Order: sequence, then C-alpha cells, then structure tokens
Amino acid sequence: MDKKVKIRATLKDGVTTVKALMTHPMETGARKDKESGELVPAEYIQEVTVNHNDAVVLNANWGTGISKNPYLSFKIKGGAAGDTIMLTWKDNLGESGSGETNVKQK
Amino acid sequence: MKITRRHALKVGSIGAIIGTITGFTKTVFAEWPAAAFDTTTYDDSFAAVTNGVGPKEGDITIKAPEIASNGATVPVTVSTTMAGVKSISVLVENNPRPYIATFFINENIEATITTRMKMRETSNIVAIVETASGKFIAKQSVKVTAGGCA
Repeated sequence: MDKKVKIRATLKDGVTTVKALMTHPMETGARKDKESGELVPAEYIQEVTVNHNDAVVLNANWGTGISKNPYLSFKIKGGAAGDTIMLTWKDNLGESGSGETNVKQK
Repeated sequence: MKITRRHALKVGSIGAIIGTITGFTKTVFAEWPAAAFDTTTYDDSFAAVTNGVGPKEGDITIKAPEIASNGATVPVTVSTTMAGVKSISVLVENNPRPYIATFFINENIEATITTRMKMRETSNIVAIVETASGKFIAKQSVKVTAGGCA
C-alpha cells in the first residue's frame, strides 16, 4: 500500500538540495474516461511532509492542480552528509507513501 | 488463550507503533483546507488563501515558461529574498480550481520551491508569500498552447 517516493538530497556549498518524485495519478475527478465516458474518481495527494532528521522542515497542502506524478524540489540551509531526509504524502483516499534518503556531499 | 510474555511484548509493541503513527499524523499535518481547495473562481480562491487581507506587491520571483506547450505539466519555481517566510501559496487564475497549493516552510528552508502543475489555458500564475511582516503577491503570465485538464 505504501508507495515509494524517489528522493535525492545533495549537499553543495552549505546548501542541501532535495528533489523528490512521487508516483501518483493526481486525478481531479473532472476527467472522463476516454472509452467508457464516465468520470474518473478524484484521487490526489493532499498533504506532503518533509522531515530533516527528526524535525519537520516542510509541510504542503495540495489541491488537484498539481501535475500527475508530482515533482517537488527545495533547498535546506545547511545539512550534513549522512543526514536523513524523509518525504511522506497522504491522498484524499487515505493512501500514503514515503521515501527516505541520506544527504550526499557533492 | 494463554498470554505468554512474548505475546504480550508483541501486542504491546504494535500498540506503541500505532500510537506513534497516529500521534505523528496529528502533529505533523495541519487540517487540510477543503473549502479553500473547492473554490471554483479565482476571486473565491484568492479570498480563501488571503483571508481577506489584501497582499502588497512583494519581492517574489515566479519562474515559469513564457509559453507552455503542455498544460498538464508546467514547471514553476517560486522564490523570494524576503526574510521570515512562513508559507508560499500558488494559484492559477483561469483554472477550474484556481487554488493549487500552499507550502509551509521554516527558517531552515530557503524560500525557493519548485513543482509542476496543471494549467487549463493561458493564465496568470499568482504567488502569495506570507512572511512575519504580512502577505505579499506577484503574478506571472504563461501562454498555454495545449491545456491540461486541471
């Protein structure tokens, strides 16, 4: 049930860049199936949380306007090689996914 | 059934894990603002995001393509040099649901967020940044040649 998140974190010049790619259909609920002509039920990520070691550093609320297979990138001031970065998401159906990585020095 | 020590430990630890997970969810996730995300006009979305406080023009950069050939995935980077950023919200004026997302960050995060979003048609992308000293706004227009159902 838990869906994997591809995540990478690289440390360069004192800044850790995190890039994450989630696998998710991000259905708005307004799209019609091409063959059956019926509406495809909404299925989209609503909440994203990123932890740096034990601390929450980023929270996000998403609507249906984020693209399919969502991409998120941001920068953490500081960080050290080996630090743990974990991203967790939760969608409107209660499904969740997460991915974890260690910061790599570039 | 006889409860052995091993069994008791096992049940106990599962309980502890469940406790941790639910506790984690409660503290980490703030209430997802369903009403704000359900708004279908830009004015309503804007009001929901700003809580009626009119934002000022701010030092915000929206990096997006001038022309997006595929409205289903439009890469957008919102950044600001302002200090004390609490959150960055993104709206698309002409989308059927204009409110796209809000990112809450703390002082350990650089105020630069990159993601990809859907755009139904040519529209302004609106970024609203909340800092310790109020709310700020910036707009950037993007021409969409093939819309993505948003």
